[in-house]
Order: sequence, then structure tokens, then C-alpha cells
Amino acid sequence: MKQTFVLTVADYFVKISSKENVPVFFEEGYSNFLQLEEVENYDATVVCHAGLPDKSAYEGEVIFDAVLDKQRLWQVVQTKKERAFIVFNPNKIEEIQQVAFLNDSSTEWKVYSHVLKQNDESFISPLSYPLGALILYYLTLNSNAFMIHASGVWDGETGRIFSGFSGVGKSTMAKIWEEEGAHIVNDDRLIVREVNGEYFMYNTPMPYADLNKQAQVSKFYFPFHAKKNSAEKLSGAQALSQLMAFCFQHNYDKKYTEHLITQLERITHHASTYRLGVVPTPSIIDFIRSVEFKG
Amino acid sequence: MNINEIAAAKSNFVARAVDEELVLVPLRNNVADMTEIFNLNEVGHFIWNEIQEGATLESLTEKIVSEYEVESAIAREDLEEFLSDLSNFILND
Repeated sequence: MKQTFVLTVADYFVKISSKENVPVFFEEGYSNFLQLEEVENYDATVVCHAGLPDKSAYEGEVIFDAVLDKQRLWQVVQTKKERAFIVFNPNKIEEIQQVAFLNDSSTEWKVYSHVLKQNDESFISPLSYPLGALILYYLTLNSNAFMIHASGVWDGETGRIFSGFSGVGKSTMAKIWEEEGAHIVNDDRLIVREVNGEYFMYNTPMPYADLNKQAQVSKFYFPFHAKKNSAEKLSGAQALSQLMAFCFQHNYDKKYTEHLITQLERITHHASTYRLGVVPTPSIIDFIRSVEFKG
Repeated sequence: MNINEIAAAKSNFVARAVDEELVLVPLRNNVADMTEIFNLNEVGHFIWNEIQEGATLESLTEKIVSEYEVESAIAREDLEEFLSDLSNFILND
């Protein structure tokens, strides 16, 4: 059974294909990011296989290890031939969910997925979290783009990104803006990409269904809870390192780190960045606009 | 603090000059502690560039004094403090 899908995220096109006799399943969040119509040029390809490969195929040196809260999420292994990504089931520690192989130019993926069953129907889910997000992250490394933990809002005139760790008010800020009529691009993860000298923010597939969105962006804020609204404009190394702290980054390879720094250096020349003390009430909106007006 | 150890550890970092400052990003083999980024001011940037195998407190102090208008004793004191901070950051990495 030949199956082909086109994943479109952040104006990237990824061809996903399978010749396996089991259907390819995508999580709900992908519903508005998939199309059946093929395009002429792809930024990356994903060839899907049913079943995990023999362990010998992904043996090698572990060059990157994603362990969070004592749970191993995935590993990058350098095998004799290529890089292998061993992705564990987030709900079942140590059960391998997918094994993916990536070529040197980070454009061709071979994804071997654990075969799943529901109501006696077998299927594979090659982009199950976190591999789908990893594939998108590696797309950003081949273009003027980066992926950041952030919420993004567009008020019809200006695109603003609020970035920081969980709990600093990213989602709260997005909701306050939404209540004032602004559109939320996403409140957790964004791809920021330079297109013809302009910067755009894009949402990416999440565990829930959402439209495929984008908006221009020119302001970055790093909020923290405060007793009084306040703003401190950042520039140069300060702006760059503050942004970098919240970007996705696989710093096992110098060239990826260099790439990210270059992207952030470019955007700090184009966009304004502020550290923002926030009282989470609608007054923050007028405060932000007045800060921007004053420059 | 050992200047030779700092010199040897420099290759584990990506250093990018931004205006007069320097951003240091450690290379990692895991996703933890990704936020540890070190910014050096102009003088820190100058010292980072001068740290090489064989460099000593004396040789670095001399270079600082010849580059900036500062007394040798003050330069040395500040250098020791800077190297201690730098050492804590990069050798405990």
C-alpha cells in the first residue's frame, strides 16, 4: 500500500511516504498541517517503516541524551553509517517508540515505528511526540530559522513573542492579549523564520488540533512576575544570550550551535527585545504599547 | 584555578563576539542546563583571547596593563577573580 502525505509547517514542505501494508496514523495536532497534494520541492523527506530495526542497526556512541525529570525521552547515537535517533515512549519508560536515521545534511529521515494496534487494526505513528518535533527542529538547522519555547500573539499590527520557562506567564500573557482581540499563534512552541528579510513566527503541531498559523514578528519579551509592570530593553550579547536560553538546541555539534547563534544575532538587529516585569492584568497591554512607542 | 586547564577547555565552547562582548555557549551531550550561557565584557573578551597554553597570571596581567590604563596590582586582583569565575563556569561544566 503506497501512502504519501505532505507535511507543511512554517512554510517547510516535508514528504512523508510509506510502502508498508499498515496505515500511517498522525496525531490529532497534525490534522491542519497535512495535505495530499504533492509539491515540486521538499525541504525534507521521511520514509516510514513498520516495526523497529535490529538493534545492531542503531548501536554506536551516544552523542546526545535527552533525559528530563529522570525519564529518557530520546538519544542520538552515531553509528558507523549515520545518526540514529532512538525515541522512547513518553508513557512507557524504556519502551522504544521509533528509531529514526538521519543523513548528514539533515534532510532525509528513515523512521522505523513500533507497530500499534487498536480494535485489531494495526498502524504506525511515525511522527508521535517527540519525533515530529525533532524533525521540525532539524529543518530549522538548514535555513534561517530557530525553534523557541514561547507564546506568540498578533494584534493586527505587531507580532510579539513572550519567551521563558514554564510558569513565567507565557500562556497568561497570550490569554490577556487574546481577550483584547489579538490572535494567539501558539502559547508554547514557535518556529521563527526569516523570509525575504522579514521575520515570521509559526505554530507547529501540538497534541491538540489547531489551524496552521503564521504572523510577522518584531518584538521579543522575557516576562517575569513582578509587583509593578516594568521593561528593560536588551541589546547585543544580553539580548542574544537571553533569546538563546529559551531556544531548542542540540549543542552536541558545533555547527548547530554556530547556526543558532548566527540566527539570533541577525534577529537581534531586526527585532526589539525586552525583559518584562509583569502584573498579569489587562493593563500590561497598554504598558507594552507605551514602551514600544517610546522605543 | 589552572590557566592551562581553562585553555584546554576553550574548545568545548562556541565563542561569538557581539560588539565588544563575547558570548560563550558550552557544547553539550545532553539537554540539561541549556541555559548556561556566559557573557564576557570587553576586558573579559580580551583575556579570553589571550588565554593559551603556557599563559600565566603574570603574563596575562602584563597584557592587560599594556592594553588598558590600569595599575598592575589592581589588574592582577581583578584577573584572579575573573579567572576564578571563568574556571567555575567552564571547568565545572
